[in-house]
Amino acid sequence: MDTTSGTGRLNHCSPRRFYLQLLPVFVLLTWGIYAMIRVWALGLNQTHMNNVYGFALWIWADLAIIALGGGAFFTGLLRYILGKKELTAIINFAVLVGVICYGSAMLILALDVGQPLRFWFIYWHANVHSMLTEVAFCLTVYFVILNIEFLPVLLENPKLRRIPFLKHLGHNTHAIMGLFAGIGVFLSFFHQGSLGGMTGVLYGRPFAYREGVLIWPWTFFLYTWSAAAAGPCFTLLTMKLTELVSGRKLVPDRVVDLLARIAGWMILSYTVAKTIDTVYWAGTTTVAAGFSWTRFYSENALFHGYWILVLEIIVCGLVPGLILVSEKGRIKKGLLFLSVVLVVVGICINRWTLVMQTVAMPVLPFEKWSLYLPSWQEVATTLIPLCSGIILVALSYRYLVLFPEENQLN
Amino acid sequence: MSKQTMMKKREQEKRRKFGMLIDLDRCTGCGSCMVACMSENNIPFRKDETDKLTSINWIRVFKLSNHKPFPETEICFLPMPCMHCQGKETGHTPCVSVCPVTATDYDSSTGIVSQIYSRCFGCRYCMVACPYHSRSFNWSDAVWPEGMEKMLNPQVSPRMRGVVEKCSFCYHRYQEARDKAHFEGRRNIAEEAYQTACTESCPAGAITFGDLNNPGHRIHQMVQPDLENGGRPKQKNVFRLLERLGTNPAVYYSSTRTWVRNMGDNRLLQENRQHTAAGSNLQDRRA
Amino acid sequence: MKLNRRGFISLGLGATAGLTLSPLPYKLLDDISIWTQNWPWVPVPRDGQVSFVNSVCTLCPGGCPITVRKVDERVISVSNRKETIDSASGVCPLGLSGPQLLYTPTRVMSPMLRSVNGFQPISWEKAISILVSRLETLREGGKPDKLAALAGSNLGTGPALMNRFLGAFGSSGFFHMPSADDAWEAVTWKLTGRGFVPGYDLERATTVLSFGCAIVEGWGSPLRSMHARSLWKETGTTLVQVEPRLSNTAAAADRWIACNPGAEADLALGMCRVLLERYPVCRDRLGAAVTNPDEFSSHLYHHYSLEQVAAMTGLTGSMIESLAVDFAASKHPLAICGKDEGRSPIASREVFATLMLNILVGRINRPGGLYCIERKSDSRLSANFLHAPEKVFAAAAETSEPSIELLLVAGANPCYSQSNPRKTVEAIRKIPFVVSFASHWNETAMNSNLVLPVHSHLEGTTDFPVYSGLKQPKLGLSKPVSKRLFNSRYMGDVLIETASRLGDAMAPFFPWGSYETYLKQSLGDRWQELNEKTVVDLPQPKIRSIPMMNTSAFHSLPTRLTGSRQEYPLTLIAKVSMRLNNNADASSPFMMKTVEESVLRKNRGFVDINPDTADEQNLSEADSVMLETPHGQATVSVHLDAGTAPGLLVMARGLGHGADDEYSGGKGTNVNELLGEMTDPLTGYNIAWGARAVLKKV
Repeated sequence: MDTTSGTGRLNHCSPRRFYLQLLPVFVLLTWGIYAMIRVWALGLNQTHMNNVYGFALWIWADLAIIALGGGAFFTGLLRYILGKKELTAIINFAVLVGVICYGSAMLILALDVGQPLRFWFIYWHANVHSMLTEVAFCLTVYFVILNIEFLPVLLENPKLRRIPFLKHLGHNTHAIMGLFAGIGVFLSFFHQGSLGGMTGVLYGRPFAYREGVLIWPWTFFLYTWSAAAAGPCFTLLTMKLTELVSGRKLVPDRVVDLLARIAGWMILSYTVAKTIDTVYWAGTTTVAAGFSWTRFYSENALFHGYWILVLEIIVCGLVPGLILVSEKGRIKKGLLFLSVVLVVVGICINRWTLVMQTVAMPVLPFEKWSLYLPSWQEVATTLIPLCSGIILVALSYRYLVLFPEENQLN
Repeated sequence: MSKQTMMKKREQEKRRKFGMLIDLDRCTGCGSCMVACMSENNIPFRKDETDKLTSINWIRVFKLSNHKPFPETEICFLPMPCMHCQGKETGHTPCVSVCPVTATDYDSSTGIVSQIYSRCFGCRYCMVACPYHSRSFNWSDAVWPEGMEKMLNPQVSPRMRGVVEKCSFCYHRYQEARDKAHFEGRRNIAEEAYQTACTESCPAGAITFGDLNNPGHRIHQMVQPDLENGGRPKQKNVFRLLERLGTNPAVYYSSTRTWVRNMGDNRLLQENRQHTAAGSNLQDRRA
Repeated sequence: MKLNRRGFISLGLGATAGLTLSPLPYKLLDDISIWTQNWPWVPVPRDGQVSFVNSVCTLCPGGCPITVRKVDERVISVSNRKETIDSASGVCPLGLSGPQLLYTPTRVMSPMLRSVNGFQPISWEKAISILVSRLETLREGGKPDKLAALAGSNLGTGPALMNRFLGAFGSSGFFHMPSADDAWEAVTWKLTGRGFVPGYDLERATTVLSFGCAIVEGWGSPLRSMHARSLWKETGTTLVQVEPRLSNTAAAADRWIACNPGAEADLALGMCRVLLERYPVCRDRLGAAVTNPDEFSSHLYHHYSLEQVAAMTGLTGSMIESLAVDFAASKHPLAICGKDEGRSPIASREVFATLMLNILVGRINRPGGLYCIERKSDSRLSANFLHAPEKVFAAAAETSEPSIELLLVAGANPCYSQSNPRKTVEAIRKIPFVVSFASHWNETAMNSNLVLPVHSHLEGTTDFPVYSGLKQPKLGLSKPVSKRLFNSRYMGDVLIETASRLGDAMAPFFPWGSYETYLKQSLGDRWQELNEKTVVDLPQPKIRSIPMMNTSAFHSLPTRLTGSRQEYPLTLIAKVSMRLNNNADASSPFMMKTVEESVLRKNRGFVDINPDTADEQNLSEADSVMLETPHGQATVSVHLDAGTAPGLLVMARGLGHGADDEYSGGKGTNVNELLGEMTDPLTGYNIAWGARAVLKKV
C-alpha cells in the first residue's frame, strides 16, 4: 500500500503480447464460466455430488482458497500490528492475493448453494449456533475490509491519481491502514477458525468431531494456525511464480527470508499441535463413539489410507517446518521454495481430509463407502479462481505498483 | 384448579415427544412404508432411480446381513426415517445446530425436527452433519408425468430444486389432528388421530408411532424411554441407532436377534467380544 | 453539477448511499426469494373437500380392502384405515400405487386402431362397428369356432359375460390365464372326482410348512398373508420355509430349509414316508383317504427313502426325518404350497404331495388346517383344463390351419407373462385380428389390432371374488372412486352392445341395458350389503370329507429340466418381490423407485449368485455376463449374495417390460424369456420353475 519510491516505471511488454500470453488463461476461464452458467441454469445435478457427498470439490476448494488467502491477514498483522516494516515490499501483493482468494471463495459458494437467490437469509435469518453463520458474516465483512485495504494500491494508478478526490481518498485510507489490518486480523481469526469449527462440531461424524474449549472445537484453532502458516507460504509461492513469468526480481531476499522463517515457525508449531490433537482424537474421542481410529484409514486404502496422515503431518508439515526454521535450510532457495510448496500442499490435504474423508466415511455400521469423482463442471468452475487470479495479478502487476521495491531490484 | 396449576398442566400436555418403534423381527422388507411416504409427501420420482445416492427417499429400507456363508446366512430389513434427534441438550440436534438460516428446527412441544423448504438455501451443511444420512437434496427440479400432478397431496408443499428435504413424521397430519381437536373443543389428541403414513401402510404392523412422553400410548410402554438418561430404552431388546454418539433419536428399533442389535452401533473389538459373549456373531467390519 | 468525472463519481456515491438507505434493495431481495418459492414449474396442488371412499383393490387376485382419500375429485392416496389402533392394517406397494396407475399417461385413452402409421384414435362407434363386422364375417363364413377369448381369470361377471358371448356366438374358445387354484382343481378332480381349491387356516395353525410360498412377498392375498405372519409372532406359530434361497420369507421364517429347487414335492413325499413308517395313526389316515394305500406306500418305499430324498433335495437324511417328526408333533400342522405368489399353476406332483402330507397329519377340514373349497359352479367355465394358453397360442401360430381368426383379450397380458414371450408375440401377430380390452398400454395391447380402453381399477364397479388360499373366500365390489378420466367403457358394455348389433342370434342372450345392470342382477340381494361393506364373505360349499382317492396317476417321477448339465452347469430360478408388479403389467414409478441396486442399475438387471460360485466363475460384484438358458439369453450383471445356494442363479420377476414407458420400460430382463416351458403332464399348464443355465463372458 506504500507508494512507489522510484521515479519512473520499468518497461512492460506491448499490450498485444501481454494479452496474447494470457490467452490460454482466458480460454480456460471461458470454459469455467460456461460451466458456471450451466450450473446456475440447470441445477446442482451438473455435479457429481450426492446425498452422501453433500460437501465435495467446491467446499474443499473454498476452504483451501481461504486458508491460502490467509497471507493477507497474517502479513497485515506482521506489518501493521507487529511493525515489521520490511514487509512493505510484499504487503500489496499479499492483499491482492487475499482479494482474489476471498472473492473466488464467495463465487464458488454462490455456485455451491442450491438456491443462490436466497443468499441474504444467512444474514437476516442467522442461526447464531451455526459455525457457517459466523463464516458468512466474517467473510463478507472481511472481503469488504480487503477491498478497502487494496483500494490505495488501486488508486495509486497514475490515471486515477490525477483525480484529487481519489488521491486524497487513497492517502487517507493508507493512513488508517493499521486499523483495517487490525480488524482484518480479528475477523480472520474467527472465520478461519470457524471453517475448522464447521467440521469440528459435527458430533455425528466421529472422523471430524473434536472436543475443544467452550463452544470451539480444537479444529477451530488449528485452522487459524494453519492458515497463518500456509497463507504466507502461498503468498511467497505466487510471488515466485510472478517473478518467473515477469522475469524480474520483485521482492528482496531478506523479506522472503523473514516471511519464510515466520511461516516455518508457524507450521512447525502447528504440526506439533496437530499431532497432539490427532493423538487425543485417536485415543479418546473416536473411542467414545465406538470407532477405532484405524478404521478410518483402512476402509479404502487407495483413497483414504494411512498415507494421507503421513503425507499431511510429516511430509508436508514436519519436514518443511524444520527446513524453514533453520537458516541452512532457508539459504538454499530451491529448498525454501520446495518447503513452501509442501506447506501449501499440506494445508490443502488437511482441508481435503476434514471435508471429503469426513463425508466419505459412513457412520452407520451397515452403510457402504462410496467413491466421489468430480464432474467436469465442478473442475471447470474450480479453475475460475485460478484463471481470474492469474489475470488479476497480471493486470495489477502491469497497471499498478504491486511490488514497491521492484524498481530497485532490477 | 389454580391458574398456575392450569398453566403447568398445559405446559405438560404441550410437551409431547413423538417417536417411532420399528420391530425388525416383523419387518418383511416389502417397501410399503417407502411408497406410502412417497404418495403422502409428494416425493418426486425420476425415470431412472437406480442411483440411490441422488434419489430422494424420506424413509429407506436397509438390508442387513449377518455375513455368514450359505446356508447360515441371515438377513434383516431396517426401515430408517429421520431420527428426529433431540441431541445432547434439547435442541442440539446435529442438523439443527448447524443450519445457518434456521431452516430446520427442533420443536420442543412435539419432538419433531422440522424442515422449511422456503427458508432453505441449499448449503447442505445439515446433510453433512447427519450421521444417518436421513436428508435428501433436490438435485434437480421434479418432473411429474402429464396427469400425475393430480395425485399431489395439497397438505404437503412440493419442493423446488436446490433445497433439502426429509421425513417430517407427517407433521401435516399432526396439524390436522390438532386443528380437529381444537374445533371439537378438546386439548388432547387421541393416539389413533395422528399416525404417520408409513405406520399406517405397514402390512406387517412393524411400526408403532406415538407420544413417547405419554404413558398411555403404546410406544411408551413398548420402549420405556429413560428421560433422565437421554431417552435410552429400558425395555429389553429395544435399541437405537448410534446410541453412543448421543444424538438421542426418537426412532427406536427392537429385535430378539443379537446380531441385529449389534448392527445398531459401532463398537471397538474388545468391547464387541464382551458384548457378544454368548456365541453370537461379531460385527461385520473390523479394522 | 458539471458533467465531468468528479460529478459522475459524486453522483454515483450519492446514489449508492441513497439507495442503500431506501427500502428498494431490501424489497428486491425479499422479492427474489419469494420468486424462488413460486417458480411456475413447481406445482401447487389445490386444496379442497376431503373425502374417503372405501373400495376393494383389484390389482391382484388378493382383493384387499382399501380406503381411498380424495380431495375434491382428485384421488390422492390409498390406505387401509383401521377401526382401532390394534386391528391389522396396511397396503402393499402396488395397492399404494393406485393413484399413479390411475393418472399415468400410459393409460389407453380412447379406442385405438392399428394402421401402417401406428395406432390411430377412433371413436367407439367405429370401433364397435369394426368388431361387429369382423364377427359377422366369421359367422357368415361358417367359422364361429374361430373366435376365441382370453381372460385374466375365470372368476366374476366379466369373464362370465365373455364366456356367454362366445357360447352364444357358437365358439367354445374361451380360455383364461391358468392359476394355482386351477391346478388344484384339476388335481383334486383327478384324484377325487370333485375339484376343490385349498382354504388354508393360517391364522390357527401352529406349524406352517411352506413349500416355497412367498408369504411376506405377496403370496395368496398379500395383506392377509403378512398379517398372518405377524400374528404368528404373537401366537408362537412356527414357520418353516422350504426354499433354495434366502428369500424375505425364508428370512422371516423360524426355520429355513435350503432345499434344491424343484424338489419340494420330493421332500414332501419323503416326509410322508417317514410319517407312514413311524406313526400307525398316519397309516390309518392313509387307509381312510386312499383306495390304494399299499401301492402308494410301496411307491414311497421304492423311491423316497431318506437317502434318495436327501440326494434329490440336497438336505441331510436326519434333517428330513426331524422335519417330519416336528411337523407331526405340532398341535395344528399345516403344509402349504404355491411357489412365489402362488398364482401361477403349480406342478400337480406338488399339489398332490402337499395334500397327502396334510391328510397324513389329519388336518383336512380342521382348525388350523386345509379346508377344501369348491369354487362357484360357473367358475369352471373352461371345463377342459387343458386349455393351457401355451397350447392355444401354439395352435394359433400354425400357418396351415390356424385355429383362431379373431381373439379377444381382457385382463391378461400373455405377451409378457407367458412362458415364451417372443413366441407368444409371434403367435398373436399371426392371428388375423386381435382385440385387446386394456386400461393401460401393455405388451399384448401393443401387438393387437384394436385396443379398447376399459376403466381402471378406481373408475368402475365390478365384482371381485377372492379365493387365494383364504379359509373364508371373499367377494369384493370395487367402487368408482374417481370419475372417468378418459373415453373408457366397461368390457361388459362393449359385449352387450356388440351382441345387440349382431342381431337375433346374440341379442336375446344379452337382455341387460348395461353391464352395471347385469352386475346388479348377478349379485342379487347381496348388492346392498356389498355396496356398504365392499367386501363380504363368499359362502362356499365346503367339502366336509374328501371322497376316497386313487393316487396311481401321481406316482410318476419329476420331469427333468431341458439341457445338459455339461452345457448348462447352473440353474436359474425366479424370485418375486413386493416392490415389483408380478401381475403381468408394468410397475408404477413409485415401485420402480423402491427396486434395489442389487436388482437393477440403470437399465441393467442383476442375477443373484452365491459368492463361491462367483469365485469359480471368476466373477466379481456387478460384472457383466451373458446368461444363457436353452430357451433364451440375456446380458445381465451379477450380484453376490450369500443367501443364494451354490450353483443357483436368481432373477427378479416383473422386469423387462416394453420400452414405451420410460419409468418402467426397457429395464432388466423378462425372466419368462429365459425359463421356457415345462408342461405339467396332468394339467398341461406351464409349470416352469427354473431352467438350466450358463454364464458366458461378454
